[in-house]
Amino acid sequence: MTTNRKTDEILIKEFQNGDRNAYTHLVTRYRDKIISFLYRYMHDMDSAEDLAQEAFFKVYLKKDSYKETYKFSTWLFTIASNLAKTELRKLKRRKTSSISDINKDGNSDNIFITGDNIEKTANNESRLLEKALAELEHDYKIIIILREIQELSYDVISRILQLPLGTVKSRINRGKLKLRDILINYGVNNYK
Amino acid sequence: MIDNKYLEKITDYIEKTLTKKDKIEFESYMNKDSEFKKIVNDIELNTSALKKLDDIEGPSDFVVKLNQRIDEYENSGLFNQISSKISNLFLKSDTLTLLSGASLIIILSFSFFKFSNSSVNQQIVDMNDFNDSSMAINDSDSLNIEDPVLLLGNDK
Repeated sequence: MTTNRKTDEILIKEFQNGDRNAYTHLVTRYRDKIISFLYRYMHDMDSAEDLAQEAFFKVYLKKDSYKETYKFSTWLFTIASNLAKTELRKLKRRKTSSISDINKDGNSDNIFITGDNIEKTANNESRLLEKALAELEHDYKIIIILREIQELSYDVISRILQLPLGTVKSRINRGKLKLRDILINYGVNNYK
Repeated sequence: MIDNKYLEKITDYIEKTLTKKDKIEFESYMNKDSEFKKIVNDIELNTSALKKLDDIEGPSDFVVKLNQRIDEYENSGLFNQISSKISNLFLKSDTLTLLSGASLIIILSFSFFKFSNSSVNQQIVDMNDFNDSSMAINDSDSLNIEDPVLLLGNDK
Protein backbone atom coordinates (compact mmCIF):
# COMPACT_ATOMS: atom_id res chain seq x y z
CA MET A 1 0.00 0.00 0.00
CA THR A 2 1.43 3.41 -0.97
CA THR A 3 1.78 6.05 1.75
CA ASN A 4 -0.87 8.25 0.09
CA ARG A 5 -3.49 5.54 0.47
CA LYS A 6 -2.67 4.69 4.04
CA THR A 7 -5.14 5.84 6.65
CA ASP A 8 -4.11 8.30 9.34
CA GLU A 9 -4.32 5.56 11.90
CA ILE A 10 -1.93 3.31 9.97
CA LEU A 11 0.52 6.20 9.53
CA ILE A 12 0.48 7.14 13.23
CA LYS A 13 1.02 3.47 14.10
CA GLU A 14 4.04 3.37 11.78
CA PHE A 15 5.31 6.57 13.33
CA GLN A 16 4.90 5.11 16.80
CA ASN A 17 7.06 2.24 15.58
CA GLY A 18 9.79 4.70 14.61
CA ASP A 19 9.01 5.59 10.97
CA ARG A 20 9.66 9.32 10.70
CA ASN A 21 8.47 9.38 7.07
CA ALA A 22 5.01 8.39 8.25
CA TYR A 23 5.04 11.42 10.57
CA THR A 24 6.11 13.74 7.76
CA HIS A 25 3.31 12.38 5.63
CA LEU A 26 0.75 13.10 8.36
CA VAL A 27 2.10 16.64 8.69
CA THR A 28 1.82 17.20 4.95
CA ARG A 29 -1.69 15.76 4.92
CA TYR A 30 -2.99 18.00 7.71
CA ARG A 31 -0.79 21.12 7.41
CA ASP A 32 -3.27 23.25 5.43
CA LYS A 33 -6.30 22.08 7.39
CA ILE A 34 -4.71 22.93 10.72
CA ILE A 35 -3.34 26.27 9.52
CA SER A 36 -6.76 27.18 8.07
CA PHE A 37 -8.53 26.23 11.28
CA LEU A 38 -6.07 28.19 13.41
CA TYR A 39 -6.07 31.20 11.09
CA ARG A 40 -9.86 31.42 11.15
CA TYR A 41 -9.85 31.09 14.91
CA MET A 42 -6.97 33.48 15.64
CA HIS A 43 -7.25 35.83 12.64
CA ASP A 44 -3.52 36.16 12.49
CA MET A 45 -1.45 34.23 9.99
CA ASP A 46 1.79 34.30 11.99
CA SER A 47 0.05 33.00 15.10
CA ALA A 48 -1.70 30.34 13.02
CA GLU A 49 1.61 29.10 11.59
CA ASP A 50 3.37 29.16 14.95
CA LEU A 51 0.55 27.30 16.63
CA ALA A 52 0.40 24.76 13.81
CA GLN A 53 4.15 24.15 14.25
CA GLU A 54 3.57 23.71 17.97
CA ALA A 55 0.67 21.33 17.39
CA PHE A 56 2.66 19.07 15.07
CA PHE A 57 5.66 19.22 17.38
CA LYS A 58 3.40 18.04 20.22
CA VAL A 59 2.22 15.18 18.02
CA TYR A 60 5.89 14.24 17.60
CA LEU A 61 6.64 14.44 21.31
CA LYS A 62 3.45 12.78 22.53
CA LYS A 63 3.09 10.16 19.82
CA ASP A 64 2.89 7.35 22.33
CA SER A 65 -0.03 8.95 24.14
CA TYR A 66 -2.22 8.60 21.04
CA LYS A 67 -4.66 5.75 21.44
CA GLU A 68 -6.74 4.29 18.65
CA THR A 69 -9.93 4.95 20.61
CA TYR A 70 -10.32 8.19 18.63
CA LYS A 71 -9.44 9.13 15.10
CA PHE A 72 -6.06 10.74 14.56
CA SER A 73 -7.75 13.91 13.23
CA THR A 74 -9.78 14.25 16.46
CA TRP A 75 -6.58 14.04 18.48
CA LEU A 76 -4.79 16.53 16.25
CA PHE A 77 -7.64 19.08 16.28
CA THR A 78 -7.91 18.71 20.06
CA ILE A 79 -4.22 19.58 20.43
CA ALA A 80 -4.55 22.52 18.02
CA SER A 81 -7.71 23.93 19.59
CA ASN A 82 -6.28 23.67 23.11
CA LEU A 83 -3.16 25.51 21.99
CA ALA A 84 -5.27 28.19 20.30
CA LYS A 85 -7.47 28.67 23.36
CA THR A 86 -4.42 29.00 25.60
CA GLU A 87 -2.87 31.51 23.20
CA LEU A 88 -6.07 33.59 23.08
CA ARG A 89 -6.24 33.61 26.87
CA LYS A 90 -2.65 34.88 26.98
CA LEU A 91 -3.40 37.55 24.38
CA LYS A 92 -6.52 38.67 26.23
CA ARG A 93 -4.60 38.99 29.47
CA ARG A 94 -1.89 40.99 27.70
CA LYS A 95 -4.37 43.29 26.03
CA THR A 96 -6.81 43.73 28.90
CA SER A 97 -5.77 47.31 29.49
CA SER A 98 -6.42 48.36 25.91
CA ILE A 99 -9.68 46.47 25.41
CA SER A 100 -11.78 49.12 27.12
CA ASP A 101 -10.38 51.73 24.75
CA ILE A 102 -10.97 49.69 21.63
CA ASN A 103 -14.24 47.93 22.39
CA LYS A 104 -16.61 50.20 24.15
CA ASP A 105 -19.40 47.72 23.52
CA GLY A 106 -17.55 45.19 25.63
CA ASN A 107 -16.94 42.68 22.84
CA SER A 108 -13.37 41.67 23.51
CA ASP A 109 -13.25 39.29 20.55
CA ASN A 110 -12.82 42.13 18.11
CA ILE A 111 -9.34 42.94 19.30
CA PHE A 112 -7.74 40.37 17.03
CA ILE A 113 -9.26 41.60 13.81
CA THR A 114 -7.10 43.71 11.59
CA GLY A 115 -7.71 44.85 8.05
CA ASP A 116 -4.52 43.21 6.80
CA ASN A 117 -5.47 39.79 8.09
CA ILE A 118 -8.87 39.88 6.53
CA GLU A 119 -7.53 41.12 3.20
CA LYS A 120 -5.46 37.96 2.88
CA THR A 121 -8.56 36.00 1.93
CA ALA A 122 -9.57 35.61 -1.66
CA ASN A 123 -12.73 37.16 -3.01
CA ASN A 124 -15.33 39.63 -1.79
CA GLU A 125 -17.92 37.12 -0.66
CA SER A 126 -15.53 35.02 1.30
CA ARG A 127 -13.81 38.16 2.58
CA LEU A 128 -17.02 39.39 4.17
CA LEU A 129 -17.78 35.98 5.54
CA GLU A 130 -14.29 35.68 7.03
CA LYS A 131 -14.67 39.13 8.55
CA ALA A 132 -18.05 38.25 10.06
CA LEU A 133 -16.60 35.01 11.38
CA ALA A 134 -13.78 36.96 12.97
CA GLU A 135 -16.28 39.10 14.86
CA LEU A 136 -18.13 36.13 16.25
CA GLU A 137 -17.56 35.19 19.89
CA HIS A 138 -14.99 32.42 20.25
CA ASP A 139 -17.37 29.86 21.72
CA TYR A 140 -19.55 30.05 18.63
CA LYS A 141 -16.79 30.60 16.14
CA ILE A 142 -14.79 27.48 16.96
CA ILE A 143 -17.83 25.24 16.54
CA ILE A 144 -18.84 26.81 13.23
CA ILE A 145 -15.28 26.45 11.88
CA LEU A 146 -15.01 22.83 12.95
CA ARG A 147 -18.45 21.90 11.68
CA GLU A 148 -19.00 23.93 8.53
CA ILE A 149 -15.47 24.52 7.24
CA GLN A 150 -13.55 21.51 8.52
CA GLU A 151 -16.69 19.40 8.18
CA LEU A 152 -16.19 17.40 11.35
CA SER A 153 -19.09 15.50 12.88
CA TYR A 154 -20.92 16.75 15.98
CA ASP A 155 -19.58 13.76 17.90
CA VAL A 156 -15.99 14.63 17.02
CA ILE A 157 -16.52 18.33 17.84
CA SER A 158 -18.03 17.34 21.15
CA ARG A 159 -14.90 15.29 21.93
CA ILE A 160 -12.48 17.98 20.73
CA LEU A 161 -14.10 20.73 22.77
CA GLN A 162 -15.12 18.43 25.63
CA LEU A 163 -18.67 19.72 25.50
CA PRO A 164 -21.94 17.77 25.61
CA LEU A 165 -23.44 17.04 22.21
CA GLY A 166 -26.50 19.14 23.05
CA THR A 167 -24.35 22.18 23.81
CA VAL A 168 -22.48 21.80 20.52
CA LYS A 169 -25.75 21.66 18.55
CA SER A 170 -27.24 24.54 20.46
CA ARG A 171 -24.15 26.71 19.97
CA ILE A 172 -23.96 26.04 16.26
CA ASN A 173 -27.51 27.31 15.78
CA ARG A 174 -27.01 30.36 17.97
CA GLY A 175 -23.66 31.03 16.35
CA LYS A 176 -25.17 30.93 12.88
CA LEU A 177 -27.91 33.30 13.97
CA LYS A 178 -25.30 35.73 15.31
CA LEU A 179 -23.26 35.35 12.14
CA ARG A 180 -26.33 36.26 10.12
CA ASP A 181 -26.86 39.38 12.27
CA ILE A 182 -23.25 40.46 11.71
CA LEU A 183 -23.60 39.98 7.96
CA ILE A 184 -26.82 41.98 7.94
CA ASN A 185 -24.94 44.77 9.72
CA TYR A 186 -22.44 44.67 6.84
CA GLY A 187 -25.36 45.11 4.47
CA VAL A 188 -25.36 41.50 3.29
CA ASN A 189 -28.78 39.92 3.13
CA ASN A 190 -28.27 36.96 0.89
CA TYR A 191 -25.49 34.83 -0.51
CA LYS A 192 -25.85 33.29 -3.91
CA MET B 1 -39.23 36.52 19.05
CA ILE B 2 -38.12 33.10 17.85
CA ASP B 3 -39.20 30.07 19.80
CA ASN B 4 -36.01 28.44 21.17
CA LYS B 5 -37.43 25.02 20.45
CA TYR B 6 -37.30 25.75 16.72
CA LEU B 7 -34.12 27.77 16.82
CA GLU B 8 -32.31 24.69 18.13
CA LYS B 9 -33.55 22.68 15.15
CA ILE B 10 -32.48 24.97 12.32
CA THR B 11 -29.22 23.13 11.52
CA ASP B 12 -30.88 19.73 11.76
CA TYR B 13 -33.56 20.97 9.38
CA ILE B 14 -30.98 22.31 6.91
CA GLU B 15 -28.95 19.09 7.17
CA LYS B 16 -32.15 17.09 6.76
CA THR B 17 -31.60 15.10 9.94
CA LEU B 18 -34.94 15.85 11.58
CA THR B 19 -37.40 13.04 12.06
CA LYS B 20 -40.44 13.12 9.81
CA LYS B 21 -42.62 14.29 12.69
CA ASP B 22 -40.20 17.03 13.73
CA LYS B 23 -39.81 18.17 10.15
CA ILE B 24 -43.55 18.61 9.67
CA GLU B 25 -43.79 20.51 12.96
CA PHE B 26 -40.79 22.69 12.04
CA GLU B 27 -42.15 23.53 8.59
CA SER B 28 -45.56 24.28 9.99
CA TYR B 29 -44.02 26.81 12.42
CA MET B 30 -41.79 28.23 9.69
CA ASN B 31 -44.71 28.75 7.30
CA LYS B 32 -46.62 30.68 9.95
CA ASP B 33 -43.68 33.00 10.75
CA SER B 34 -42.21 34.74 7.71
CA GLU B 35 -39.37 36.28 9.75
CA PHE B 36 -38.33 32.84 10.98
CA LYS B 37 -38.53 31.53 7.42
CA LYS B 38 -36.19 34.32 6.31
CA ILE B 39 -33.76 33.46 9.12
CA VAL B 40 -33.70 29.78 8.12
CA ASN B 41 -33.14 30.73 4.50
CA ASP B 42 -30.26 33.11 5.36
CA ILE B 43 -28.62 30.58 7.63
CA GLU B 44 -28.85 27.95 4.90
CA LEU B 45 -27.15 30.29 2.43
CA ASN B 46 -24.49 31.34 4.92
CA THR B 47 -23.77 27.72 5.77
CA SER B 48 -23.41 26.87 2.12
CA ALA B 49 -20.99 29.83 1.67
CA LEU B 50 -18.97 28.70 4.70
CA LYS B 51 -18.55 25.26 3.18
CA LYS B 52 -17.13 26.84 0.05
CA LEU B 53 -14.30 28.56 1.93
CA ASP B 54 -11.05 26.98 0.83
CA ASP B 55 -8.27 25.76 3.04
CA ILE B 56 -5.53 28.34 3.42
CA GLU B 57 -2.27 27.08 2.01
CA GLY B 58 0.52 26.87 4.54
CA PRO B 59 4.04 28.14 3.81
CA SER B 60 6.15 25.86 1.61
CA ASP B 61 8.93 25.63 4.22
CA PHE B 62 6.54 24.55 6.98
CA VAL B 63 7.70 20.93 7.03
CA VAL B 64 11.37 21.94 6.70
CA LYS B 65 11.09 24.27 9.72
CA LEU B 66 9.29 21.60 11.71
CA ASN B 67 11.94 19.00 10.89
CA GLN B 68 14.69 21.44 11.87
CA ARG B 69 13.00 21.97 15.22
CA ILE B 70 12.67 18.23 15.74
CA ASP B 71 16.34 17.66 14.80
CA GLU B 72 17.43 20.35 17.27
CA TYR B 73 15.31 18.71 19.93
CA GLU B 74 16.70 15.26 19.15
CA ASN B 75 20.30 16.52 19.21
CA SER B 76 19.84 18.25 22.54
CA GLY B 77 18.17 15.07 23.72
CA LEU B 78 21.22 13.04 22.69
CA PHE B 79 23.47 15.32 24.76
CA ASN B 80 21.14 14.95 27.73
CA GLN B 81 21.10 11.19 27.30
CA ILE B 82 24.90 11.00 27.38
CA SER B 83 25.04 13.28 30.43
CA SER B 84 22.46 11.25 32.27
CA LYS B 85 24.21 7.98 31.40
CA ILE B 86 27.43 9.31 32.89
CA SER B 87 25.54 10.46 35.99
CA ASN B 88 23.83 7.10 36.26
CA LEU B 89 27.15 5.33 35.94
CA PHE B 90 28.44 7.18 38.97
CA LEU B 91 25.22 6.76 40.88
CA LYS B 92 25.00 3.04 40.30
CA SER B 93 28.68 2.07 40.67
CA ASP B 94 30.02 0.63 43.88
CA THR B 95 32.63 2.27 46.10
CA LEU B 96 35.54 0.39 44.51
CA THR B 97 34.62 1.57 41.01
CA LEU B 98 34.07 5.06 42.31
CA LEU B 99 37.49 5.08 44.00
CA SER B 100 39.12 3.69 40.84
CA GLY B 101 37.50 6.46 38.84
CA ALA B 102 38.57 9.10 41.31
CA SER B 103 42.15 7.70 41.33
CA LEU B 104 42.23 7.77 37.56
CA ILE B 105 41.10 11.39 37.54
CA ILE B 106 43.79 12.30 40.13
CA ILE B 107 46.53 10.51 38.14
CA LEU B 108 45.44 12.17 34.92
CA SER B 109 45.25 15.59 36.61
CA PHE B 110 48.74 15.09 38.14
CA SER B 111 50.21 13.99 34.80
CA PHE B 112 48.63 16.94 33.11
CA PHE B 113 49.96 19.27 35.80
CA LYS B 114 53.51 17.82 35.48
CA PHE B 115 53.39 18.08 31.74
CA SER B 116 52.18 21.67 31.74
CA ASN B 117 54.72 22.54 34.50
CA SER B 118 57.63 21.18 32.45
CA SER B 119 56.40 23.15 29.49
CA VAL B 120 56.44 26.32 31.60
CA ASN B 121 60.01 25.54 32.81
CA GLN B 122 61.08 24.95 29.25
CA GLN B 123 59.63 28.32 28.36
CA ILE B 124 61.65 29.96 31.20
CA VAL B 125 64.83 28.24 29.97
CA ASP B 126 64.14 29.41 26.48
CA MET B 127 63.75 32.91 27.76
CA ASN B 128 67.32 32.84 29.30
CA ASP B 129 69.27 33.14 26.10
CA PHE B 130 72.95 33.26 27.13
CA ASN B 131 74.09 34.30 23.70
CA ASP B 132 72.31 37.55 24.11
CA SER B 133 74.91 40.22 23.43
CA SER B 134 73.13 42.74 25.56
CA MET B 135 74.13 40.86 28.72
CA ALA B 136 77.72 41.65 30.02
CA ILE B 137 79.52 38.78 31.69
CA ASN B 138 82.92 39.31 33.31
CA ASP B 139 84.77 36.05 32.77
CA SER B 140 88.32 37.52 32.87
CA ASP B 141 90.97 36.02 35.18
CA SER B 142 91.67 38.55 37.91
CA LEU B 143 95.22 37.15 38.60
CA ASN B 144 96.47 37.77 35.09
CA ILE B 145 95.57 41.39 34.86
CA GLU B 146 98.23 44.05 35.27
CA ASP B 147 96.29 46.54 37.31
CA PRO B 148 95.39 45.37 40.84
CA VAL B 149 91.65 45.13 41.44
CA LEU B 150 90.38 47.15 44.34
CA LEU B 151 87.94 44.99 46.21
CA LEU B 152 85.17 47.06 47.58
CA GLY B 153 84.33 46.51 51.23
CA ASN B 154 87.83 45.02 52.01
CA ASP B 155 89.55 47.18 54.58
CA LYS B 156 92.89 45.36 54.25
